Amino acid sequence: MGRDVQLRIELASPVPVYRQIVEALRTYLVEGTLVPGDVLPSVRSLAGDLGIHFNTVAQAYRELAEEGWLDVSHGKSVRVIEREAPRENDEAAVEQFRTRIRRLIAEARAQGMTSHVVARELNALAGGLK
Amino acid sequence: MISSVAVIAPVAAVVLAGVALSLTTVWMRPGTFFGVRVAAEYPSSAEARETRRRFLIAVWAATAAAVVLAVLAFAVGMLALFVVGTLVQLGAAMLAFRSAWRRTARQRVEAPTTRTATLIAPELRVPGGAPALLGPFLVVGGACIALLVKWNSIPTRFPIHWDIQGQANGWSDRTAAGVFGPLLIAAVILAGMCGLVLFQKRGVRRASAASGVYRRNRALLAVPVVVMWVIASMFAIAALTPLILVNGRFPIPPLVMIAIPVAGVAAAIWLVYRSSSEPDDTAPDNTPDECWRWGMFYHNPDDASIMVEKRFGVGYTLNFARWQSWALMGGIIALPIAIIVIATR
Repeated sequence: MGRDVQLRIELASPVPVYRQIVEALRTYLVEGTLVPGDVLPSVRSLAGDLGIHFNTVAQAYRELAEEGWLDVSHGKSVRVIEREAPRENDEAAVEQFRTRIRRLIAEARAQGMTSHVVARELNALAGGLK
Repeated sequence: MISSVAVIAPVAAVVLAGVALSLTTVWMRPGTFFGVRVAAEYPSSAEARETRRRFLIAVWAATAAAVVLAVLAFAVGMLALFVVGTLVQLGAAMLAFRSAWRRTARQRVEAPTTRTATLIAPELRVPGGAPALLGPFLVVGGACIALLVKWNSIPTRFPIHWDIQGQANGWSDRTAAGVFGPLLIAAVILAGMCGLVLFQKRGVRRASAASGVYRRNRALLAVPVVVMWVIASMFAIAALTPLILVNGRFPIPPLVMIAIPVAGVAAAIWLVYRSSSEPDDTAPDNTPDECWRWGMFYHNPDDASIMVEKRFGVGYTLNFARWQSWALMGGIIALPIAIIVIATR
């Protein structure tokens, strides 16, 4: 039996749909659930399955292509490609990441999570990704 | 005097069509009613029962009219009346469906906001694989070889059609067209059906192996394969007629000849019924309600799918916003016309 990878989005979420798609796919790509050579559904096909406009999917695919994860140039086929490793510890990227993670940690603390729990979860998640 | 046997077949066909149209009320996609997305409990409501009742009354009134026209057609020898009857039946059923769809539209509910799609899925395989698809061609090819090898044993003139009493009433000569004609027709039909299977395999929705959609896709691929085997068997037997005649009579009882296609159709219906009766909560229908014209014709230019799951009945329907759908429709209409033209030349 072959692999079976699902994508789930929530239309009622305040997070834009295209961003949900980008983040879900990026997670799969980093984790290795999606590997080079995998062929993803075409823009229109995925849009049809999700019941959303194809421009939304196109925008998500385009962003991942710009990051080097996907090749969307060959007709309608969308293929996962071998990605060149980005420069390690790029200062600007680290700073951007720090800003985002601070917001997330603040949100978690505001919801009552202790710093110990936040640190444990971050460690576990970072270790789980390649 | 009308031959009772001659009139039974068209009347039975009309009644069977009435039964098939009535099944529309049973085989609706979970969560929909007459092509409208509704709350799960709505189909069992009093209003839904009334809608269903009205639809069935319209279908069976039209079926009764079609039966009368079918009998009349054979009484006065006007086949056109039979055709008119079936068109009346189909047209009335479509109008009744549209009426039910409009009545149900008031109960429409919004699609769920949580959506899922399959990114990577196991490849959809034709049940039985390549042998199942190539087998019918081998059956036809085998019959062809048998006829070539036994060419000299074929009578110069042989019967190819019999009346209900078993008396020959149609003849053919030992010519290439007379001997290989049925096999050529079979090969054309099989090639068309093979193309249809591959088109279906490519066009259906990518679905998780655990989903009902995947199982239905497999079952729906099996149907044309079963039909291909039935067609190959029937045409091979027909082509081999001059070699298997016993004292000028066809040795296979008519009931067996009827039983082969009936068994094939029954097997196909069973396969589809079994798969469609399975619950499916892993691949919901995300198609927009407004794209279902009259609740039955899907037209969505923003959807790349050529085929989408039907909201009633079983199987897939075409997305009429795609040119490929119109090309397929054209092919389906052109194929029997081409066969008739070839056969009557």
